[in-house]
Amino acid sequence: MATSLTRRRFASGLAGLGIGLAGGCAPPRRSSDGRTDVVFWHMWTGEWEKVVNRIVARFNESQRSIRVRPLVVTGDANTKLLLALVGGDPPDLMAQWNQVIPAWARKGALVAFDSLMSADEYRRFRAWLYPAAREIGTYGEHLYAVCMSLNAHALLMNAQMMREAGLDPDRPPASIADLDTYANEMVKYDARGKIDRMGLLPLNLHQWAAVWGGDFYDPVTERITANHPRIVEALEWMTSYSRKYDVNKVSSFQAGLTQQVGDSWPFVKKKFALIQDGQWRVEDMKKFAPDIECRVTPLPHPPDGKERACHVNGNFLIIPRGARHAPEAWEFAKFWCGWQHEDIGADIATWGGWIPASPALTRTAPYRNYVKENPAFQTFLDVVGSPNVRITPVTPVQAFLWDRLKATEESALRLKQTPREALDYMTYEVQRELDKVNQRGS
Amino acid sequence: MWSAQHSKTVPPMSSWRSLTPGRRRNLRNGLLFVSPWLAGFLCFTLFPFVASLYFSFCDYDILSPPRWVGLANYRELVTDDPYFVKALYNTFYYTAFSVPLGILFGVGIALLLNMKVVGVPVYRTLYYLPSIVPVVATSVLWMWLLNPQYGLINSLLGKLGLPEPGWISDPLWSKPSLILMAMWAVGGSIVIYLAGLQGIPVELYEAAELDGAGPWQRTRAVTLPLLSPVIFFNLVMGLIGALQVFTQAYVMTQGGPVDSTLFYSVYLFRRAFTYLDMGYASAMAWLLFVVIMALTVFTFRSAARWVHYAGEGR
Repeated sequence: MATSLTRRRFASGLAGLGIGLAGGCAPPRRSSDGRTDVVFWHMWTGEWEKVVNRIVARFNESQRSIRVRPLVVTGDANTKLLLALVGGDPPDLMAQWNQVIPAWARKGALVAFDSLMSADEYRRFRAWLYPAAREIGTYGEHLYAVCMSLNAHALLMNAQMMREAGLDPDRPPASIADLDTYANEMVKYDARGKIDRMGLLPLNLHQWAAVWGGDFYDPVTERITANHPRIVEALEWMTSYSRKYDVNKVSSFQAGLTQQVGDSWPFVKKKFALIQDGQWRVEDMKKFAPDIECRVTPLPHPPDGKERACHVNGNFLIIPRGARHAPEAWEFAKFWCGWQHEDIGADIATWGGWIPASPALTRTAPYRNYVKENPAFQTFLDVVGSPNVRITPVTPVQAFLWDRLKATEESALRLKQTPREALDYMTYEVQRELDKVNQRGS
Repeated sequence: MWSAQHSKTVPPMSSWRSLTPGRRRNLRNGLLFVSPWLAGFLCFTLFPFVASLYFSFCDYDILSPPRWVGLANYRELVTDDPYFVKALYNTFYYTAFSVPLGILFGVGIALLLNMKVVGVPVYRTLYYLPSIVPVVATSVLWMWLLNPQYGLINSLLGKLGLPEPGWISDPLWSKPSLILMAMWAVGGSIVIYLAGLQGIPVELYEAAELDGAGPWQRTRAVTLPLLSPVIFFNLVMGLIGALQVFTQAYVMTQGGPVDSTLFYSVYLFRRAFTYLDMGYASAMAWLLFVVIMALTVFTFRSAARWVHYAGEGR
């Protein structure tokens, strides 16, 4: 069986290696049946990957000339995309939910979707989207990301725990004062004096800043306004929980909540009586905790705050610069988001338990039926259509702002800095970063 | 003898013309066989190395061509970046504790494992095992051990009536937690210390014993001086490794809480791949290189005072 390495074999091996390296092992982009292959990168795994595959399969069935090939990109997908882009072999389409769209758009890494539509179609498409879906995907004058679904937040309540505490689940907390009272009634400690269950733990300053009515950024003056008095007040309220329940005990309790997904989500584990979270939890509750009677209400607000307010983000599709089949990728994006295919788009939204990109889809029969089956979903729909929702500021330093926001919140909640100090510092450092980027002009 | 063999197997390039056709073919084939490695080295080590030096003087975000900014990145790092200072502090803190403690712990365990007691091979295996577990797996394991609410360590401390720290979720304890974790994986250096210990001639101990030296005196006057080259080696390697600490913090804390484990390499990675500030990150990498080089040179200079090589007559 021993084979000798002949010169010809060796040379052809080297040549093969060279061709492989030079070509970046790019997959063929046209199938043997003549259909155009659209390479689609996404980061969904497990159960979510199955949903994506179902969407892709339905699209492929509906097509004669296009075939979408999904590829799960795990790990640091953003870095992988940038490397693929620089290497000249990016995918045709990528799912994106991180704070990178403005920075990538500014650097010319993305194809503007408006370049794939007529002016009239673009105008109609923009008007069709929820405002948040439109604003998150836009940088400057162009639309760089198409929304497939939005995420809204509300307050989820365990009705049984409320009854046990003598509270009426049909009367959800209407104000921050109510919320504090309710939370206090439902906290539980274990034999060691550690917190076993929290009534509520207010986290995610961006959510509560929206409720208080504070903005992190003024797009007119291009100034960071993270130390807006309303945001300071929101953070002060959040830190009141660290003081009231002992910061060390709260940190220890939080450290015990290592998983936030599926049946390990702390609300399912009955570690919270009240929790602020997104609409995807409606499906989680059905799957993992059908025994828990869950009620949903918009986030309560202070007397001069905003009703039906929250921070909204979502799932988007982007086309990287250098994509070989941008028009075909746009066809798939249209199919998924429901533009010109409203019934299909609405149907897809029900598969993932998503809020669709457009209010038009929520009025379709498939979606109305879904909401009828899942009445808790209606609260999230009410919130996402509210004028009081906020998005992550569209600035080229979005990722930096997001990082610093987390660090600022952490520092204040651990009582290392006062909310005012922490937010003043955040304002200074993010503005500094923004000035630096603006000075560079790229 | 060696040089004669050497010249026979690898002829110098200057004598290419004088080579017989057979030898030329052998040389060419040899170079072709090592060419994958050479290509890899040139493309993936030497080129990035040189390119990063150039990028450190540029504003570069991968997507646009690099733009020359001279010393601006270095200037900003040194004069106007609070996270650079914070990251340096965290890294030096980690190095200052983990390296000496690693040596103390490693030498101590190696001395114990060098004793002639029943079951020594089992103990040696047990102490070596953690060092072959991948860092990511070790990190996940320790995340559970150090969990303040449900972790084994706090559970034991609680039963003993001792305070239960917040470990990696407390800014005060996060660095000590990672240092503690580093002690768990000193098995690799223990093996080297053991080899060093077994190379110490027995007659030196016998002579010391005849002179009336007790166990501590024998350790201080015989073992440690003769083990000093091995300690020196582990010190240099430990310094280089600790100054580049990354994986544990990246997996367990992502630089938190409150930037308390924002080590230099973590900040560098964030600058490079989250903020796409490749020029700045390259400047950071070169500054780290200079720091490591300076510390290594300093350690080598200090070696003359405390490292004793057998046969030097010291």
